[in-house]
Amino acid sequence: MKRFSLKKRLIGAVILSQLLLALGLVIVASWYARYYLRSAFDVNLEGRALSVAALVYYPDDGRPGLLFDGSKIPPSSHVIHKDIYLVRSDHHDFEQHSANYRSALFDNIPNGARYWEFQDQGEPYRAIILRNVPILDTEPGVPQPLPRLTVIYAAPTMDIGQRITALAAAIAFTSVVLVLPTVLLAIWSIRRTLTPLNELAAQAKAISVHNWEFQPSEKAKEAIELEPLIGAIETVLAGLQRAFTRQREFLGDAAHELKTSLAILKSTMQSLMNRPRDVQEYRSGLEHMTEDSDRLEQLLNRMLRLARVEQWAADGIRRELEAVDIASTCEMAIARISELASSRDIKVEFAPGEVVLMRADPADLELIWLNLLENAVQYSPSGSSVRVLMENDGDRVRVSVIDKGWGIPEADLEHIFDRFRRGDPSRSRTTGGFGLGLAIAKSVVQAYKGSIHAQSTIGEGTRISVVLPVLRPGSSSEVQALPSNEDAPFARR
Amino acid sequence: MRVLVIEDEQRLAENVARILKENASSAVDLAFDGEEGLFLAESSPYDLLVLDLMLPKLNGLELLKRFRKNGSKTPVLVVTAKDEKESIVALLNAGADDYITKPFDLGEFVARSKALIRRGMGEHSTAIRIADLELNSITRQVHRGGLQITLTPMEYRVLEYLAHKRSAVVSKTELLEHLYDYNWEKFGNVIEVYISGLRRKIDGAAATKLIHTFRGQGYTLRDESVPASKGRK
Repeated sequence: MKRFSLKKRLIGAVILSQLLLALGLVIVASWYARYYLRSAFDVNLEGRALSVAALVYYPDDGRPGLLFDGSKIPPSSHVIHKDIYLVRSDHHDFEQHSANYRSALFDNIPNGARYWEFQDQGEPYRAIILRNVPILDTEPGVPQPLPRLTVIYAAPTMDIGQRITALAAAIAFTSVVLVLPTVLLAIWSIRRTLTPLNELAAQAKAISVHNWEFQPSEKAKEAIELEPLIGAIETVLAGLQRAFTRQREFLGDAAHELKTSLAILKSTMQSLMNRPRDVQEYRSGLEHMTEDSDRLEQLLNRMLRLARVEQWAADGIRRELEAVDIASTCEMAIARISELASSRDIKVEFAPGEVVLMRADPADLELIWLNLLENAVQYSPSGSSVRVLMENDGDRVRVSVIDKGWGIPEADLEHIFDRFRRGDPSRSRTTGGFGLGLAIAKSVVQAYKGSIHAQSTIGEGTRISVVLPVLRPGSSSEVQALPSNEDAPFARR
Repeated sequence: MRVLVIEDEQRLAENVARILKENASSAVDLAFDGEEGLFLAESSPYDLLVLDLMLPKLNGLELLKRFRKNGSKTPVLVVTAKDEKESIVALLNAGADDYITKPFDLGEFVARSKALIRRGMGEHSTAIRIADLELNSITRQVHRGGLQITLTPMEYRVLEYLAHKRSAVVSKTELLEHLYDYNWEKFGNVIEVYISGLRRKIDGAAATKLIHTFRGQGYTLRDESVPASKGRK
């Protein structure tokens, strides 16, 4: 994995674009300057050629022929490589040229060209040829037709090249000089722009199991691009925090239960050993310890069972499942609770109806009913009855366990499926439960994509209902998922 | 000394009560839920409250707050299965005097209980000395003039209580309330029997009498040959 820095990349991009811009500027400016200077040069060349033509005059005394005033030639722009000119009349009776003119220079005038270039002693020249230039001077009595002049004027072009190079250099230099402040400005601006991102990263880094605090800075919240990220972090964190809190609460509760059970055992042992006792005292102490260690074992088993069942609920059931008759699992559970029920003088009523099938491990279903029944029996007054009711609508089956107990207050109803039934001050060990049974039942139901809920009326009793998906009659493989769990297919194997 | 144990685990409560009776010569009352516990704590003068936190009906912390709000000065020893710092801080701030975490050692439990009872009495030493009478509240041995005196458990309880309240006049009712749990029939003449027994064993052979009777008021344990040094009450 190649690591990179956003900031460095952005700064690199700014520098690169800056340099590209400078290069473009140099090219365009040079091209434009070349065009502009060339046309200025040409205008100048034409002017000079015309001014040479203007120096041709008729003699004042009426003699024939033409004269040339060489003293008024405009000075050359270049000191060493002087301008070259040639002016001649088309009557071939007059020709004047500069001192540095050699006839070979103008031998190769391109056909019909007005301007052309050549080299003289290694120096590039640009020349203009003007034909049919009238003589400016007028003199009466000059025979017609008036002669016309041909003027060739050449000047060194080195100057243009130098100026263009100088200009390009100036632009390039300025650009390079300006790159530095621009880059500094870009760095500052990029830093500033990336501040919310940096802050967000720092805040995210500070999150740990011990610190769930995530408060994105105002700047980070204002940045539109960061909104989905912040939202995602917050959602995930909230979920994780809930899970961790639940886990910690469970651990705390489990530790509390285990410590209490241990405390009882230990206190019995220590009080037995406090002083010599008689055989009867030892016997009853050992009996107590046996009872208490049985209870401890039962608590451990239930906790392990809950942990395992919750794992299923989270992972889905991955076993090959047979179709089982729900009613028969109810009967099995009722048989297993009968001893406890009769010891409290409680009757369990169940009228099995038609055969309702679902794909399940019969032991799991039995575990659900057993926990619901145990809860019902524990909270029922002796002499009352607990009823198991089964209703089937083809897609789903609803199994309800109805007791005539004291009922559960509205506020506690939503907590009855919590592990160890937190926050229930009336939870008393005299009823014998650990507050794990309903939590186990709920987890198993969830593992089978079912739902569980409780209704209660104070003084009348409580009804806990489990809704499970069933195998439709006639279809052996398709299993209908519950409407509440449409997103997840039921039969996960 | 009389102790109230508020604990919903009946077996634990019974074991704790038994050890307090055996090792601390205390009368012990039991309450198995918070409401009953608060009612008992407020209706009788206890020398120590042993309080579990997870209680049905009224939790221990709430019980403690209500109990302290009414101005009670009885020492409270909290028994808790939670050992997180926050919950311990909350406990002590609510007026608990000490705590012990489950599962605990009964020896440590008895030592802490005794220490709290002593402090509740304004006592810091485990040995009480009045003239040449010495009481050791750890070994529960009594010496006078270097000679060991054997007392019955009830006689020891009476003497220890009088020793804690030395120089003050203690009424029969006070003795009954602090030395018996609520299951006992409280007859005043039981106290007279113990006092006369104590007198015989402690003052019988000595030149200086330490146990004095104030007719219609009660009893006091003090050395009248020196001016009341402790000057309490």
